[in-house]
Amino acid sequence: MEIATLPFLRLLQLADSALPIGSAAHSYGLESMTVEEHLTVAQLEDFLRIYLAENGVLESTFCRLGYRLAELTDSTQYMEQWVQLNTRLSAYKTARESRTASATLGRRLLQLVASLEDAAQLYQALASAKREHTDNHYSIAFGLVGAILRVDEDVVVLAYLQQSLTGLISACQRLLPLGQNQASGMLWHLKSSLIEIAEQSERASEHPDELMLFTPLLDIGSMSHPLLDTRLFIS
Amino acid sequence: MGSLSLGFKCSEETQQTQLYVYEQQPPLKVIRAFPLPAGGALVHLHNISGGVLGGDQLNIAVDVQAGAYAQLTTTSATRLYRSRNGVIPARQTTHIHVAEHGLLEYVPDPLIPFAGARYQQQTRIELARGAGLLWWETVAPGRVARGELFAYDLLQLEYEISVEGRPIALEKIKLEPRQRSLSSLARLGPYHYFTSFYICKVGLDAAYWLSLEKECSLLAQQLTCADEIRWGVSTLAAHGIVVRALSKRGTALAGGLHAFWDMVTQALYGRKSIPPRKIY
Repeated sequence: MEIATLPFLRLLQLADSALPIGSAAHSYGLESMTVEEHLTVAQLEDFLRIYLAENGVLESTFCRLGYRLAELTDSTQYMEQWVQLNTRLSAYKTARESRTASATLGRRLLQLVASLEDAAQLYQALASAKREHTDNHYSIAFGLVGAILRVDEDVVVLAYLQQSLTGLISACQRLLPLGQNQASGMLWHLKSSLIEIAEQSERASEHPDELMLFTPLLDIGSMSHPLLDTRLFIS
Repeated sequence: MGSLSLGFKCSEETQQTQLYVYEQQPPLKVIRAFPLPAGGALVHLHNISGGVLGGDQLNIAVDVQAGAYAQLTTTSATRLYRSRNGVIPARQTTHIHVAEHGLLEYVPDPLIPFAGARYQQQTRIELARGAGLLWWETVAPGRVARGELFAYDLLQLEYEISVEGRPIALEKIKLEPRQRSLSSLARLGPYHYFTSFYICKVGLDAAYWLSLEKECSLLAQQLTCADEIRWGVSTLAAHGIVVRALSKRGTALAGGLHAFWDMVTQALYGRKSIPPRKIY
């Protein structure tokens, strides 16, 4: 796999947790899990491995599908499919806070890149979602942006998974007694899982109607998050 | 191969919903409709086999016509029996359409997958303008009294609720507990039973649903008991909310579901819920 240097550097910037789109403000239900279900540091690596096997496959498949939309040259067809894809992912995300978090980050990513790159498809995505009252989900937006930057699809998906996992572990560092070295070790050990998930998403993208997801405890954690007495995170 | 095709029409003269049985093939069967006080029709879905047998292929179609009010329930828990080796998984496909200002309440008893069961269920619900849906499904871990927990081979449940062709809720799960443990905190954690209760009425705006989510979340908080049962409520992408729960015991779930049913019926239809007469 050969990667052109400029697109690669741009992808690194977009996948960095310091990107000003607000990703550090979301825990996607993890905050409730630490409070209500006593998720501990000892359980965390296994928890994240299973989380990736469920949610990681779903999101990285949608990331691939978002990437592939950039191939469409007919703008009407492109905007219709953009809305359909995002509407479908919204329907999977039954927990409001997590759904809204994903939609907020996706919209901000598109807006940020639209201010840096002259790409009509970014504006069309934002405009069609606004017109049809649907979301711009982060995973789909990341895929689209990666395609516009002309980075290889697998690399984009892996970068998406890497930065999502980094974000979750970073959230856990603020929620749990998880040190920097331990967090780095966890992120290091889970890289093989990221590669497996990316491969699974390649197969899943051939039959997206068959995507499965079973994270009920995390969903309920996300649903009960607004009722926590004190909160560090928006979701 | 069993099939059942039902229609519900609201009589202009009496304003009472009437049942039309277009087709029924064993083991699926309905006997009659019972009138409900709000003009609805209550129908019990019977499976005369006593449960779903390995290899069963069951098709159910329900058409709730404009302004009609249908309530469907089961006569008891749905037992999903062990599948023999080499037999295709049992499968139930359900298509539901609720027309303008119709209402469907689908309130069955739990699914109980026995050891060795292999079962796939696909449910598609299409809602028209003004249509209402109150729909729940509860899944037990198995025959708990026999000490049988997650001993089934396959449980695949797929639900899709759409409004004018646009999905508003997708729940697709594939559980193979003998291959992939469900006890991770990323899945069921320490809980054994799970339930989803979808509450929809097409056309109400997002602010209304957010307000109902807040009201129901307070009930969820009251019903939640640490390390025993957890309830959560959220607005859907549009037109509804979902209530979810996880529990270590099945008995507490039914009471909670009825409490939510009553609360949302009052909010959406200005009356009390009308539970079918049976022991939960």
